[in-house]
Amino acid sequence: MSGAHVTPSRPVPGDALLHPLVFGAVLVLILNDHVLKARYASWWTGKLSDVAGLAMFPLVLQGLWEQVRARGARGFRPSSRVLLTCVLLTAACFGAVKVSQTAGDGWRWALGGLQWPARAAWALASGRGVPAVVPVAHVVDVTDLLALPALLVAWRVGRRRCADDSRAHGGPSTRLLPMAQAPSRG
Amino acid sequence: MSSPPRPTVSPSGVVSPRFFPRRWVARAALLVACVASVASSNPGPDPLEATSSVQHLRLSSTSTRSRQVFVVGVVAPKHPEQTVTVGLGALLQARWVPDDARDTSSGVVRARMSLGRSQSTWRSSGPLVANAETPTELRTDLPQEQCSLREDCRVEAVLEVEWEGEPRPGVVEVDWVALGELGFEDGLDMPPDVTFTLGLP
Repeated sequence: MSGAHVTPSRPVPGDALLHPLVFGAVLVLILNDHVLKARYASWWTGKLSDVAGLAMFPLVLQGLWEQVRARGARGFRPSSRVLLTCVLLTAACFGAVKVSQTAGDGWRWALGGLQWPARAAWALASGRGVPAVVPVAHVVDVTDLLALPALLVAWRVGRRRCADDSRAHGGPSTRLLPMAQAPSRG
Repeated sequence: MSSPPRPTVSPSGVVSPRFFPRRWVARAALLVACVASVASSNPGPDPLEATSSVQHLRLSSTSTRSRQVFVVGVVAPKHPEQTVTVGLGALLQARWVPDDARDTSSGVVRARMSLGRSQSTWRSSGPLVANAETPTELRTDLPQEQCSLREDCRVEAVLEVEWEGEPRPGVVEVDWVALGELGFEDGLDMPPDVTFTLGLP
């Protein structure tokens, strides 16, 4: 990058989602689930959601973890171990719900439960009764495992974030540091 | 002469909006991603249900088995690349009418269904009661069959009914209805103009 001044910015909890590829995946997920699937329901709209979801979901988990861990701490550094755990957890859960009917049903009810508060609030605001928790639609389809390589996007973005932080601030980035020990920027 | 402001860009390509509070931008992105994840699947449209009219079978001491074949059909004229699930069951009511009104020994009725390659196990009724006012009820259900709408989906279904026990002079009258359910599990909308028929009057 000749001529460009590059100043590594200090990472903040959850900012891996600001990477263009990752935030792009979030936008693709929203667009696909709420527009493309409705208009062009097809095998590729199903696969597109899986790819987009796998590209961003480990970093969502990591971001949530970082938000919780960084609360009250005066310094923050991203952790490769947390990233690896999130990637493996996502792979395991995705694999289970795509292979096992029981796990798939668990996923349907879990997501239905998470959606229920918003549905109930909307129903109440519309003057209707509180709806029951209903499972979401889900297809147990082993061919969806073809989307698993999309996890590499999350892995590479997350690893690079950790590596950049290590290079800029020295030492392995596996723990929270007090602000006093964190080097100042630029 | 002061140098121009340097852009704050991380080597990883992470967007670093220098003039925005980065921490809050990250939190907003996390919130959007969480909502996108939770809202990524919908409950889907309600299943289509179909019920046949009441069908009749008759078993006797000389003909203790009976079967009825019908064709369950799912047709979507636009043939979307969508998969549906077909559920099928039957509700039966059996009435034992002995030739000799004093005859109370009757046995049981059992039934099973098949749809395509899947077959239910035999389900037995309770002991039949001669000329009972309340017929004996029996229900049999099949595991759901998946069906692609890319082509017309027609699957042969069979209901088999047997009178078990030592046959006695008289008849067992069986009234039954087929209960079908068409579930949409792929895509968010019901395919337009989809029809679900049980192939029975």
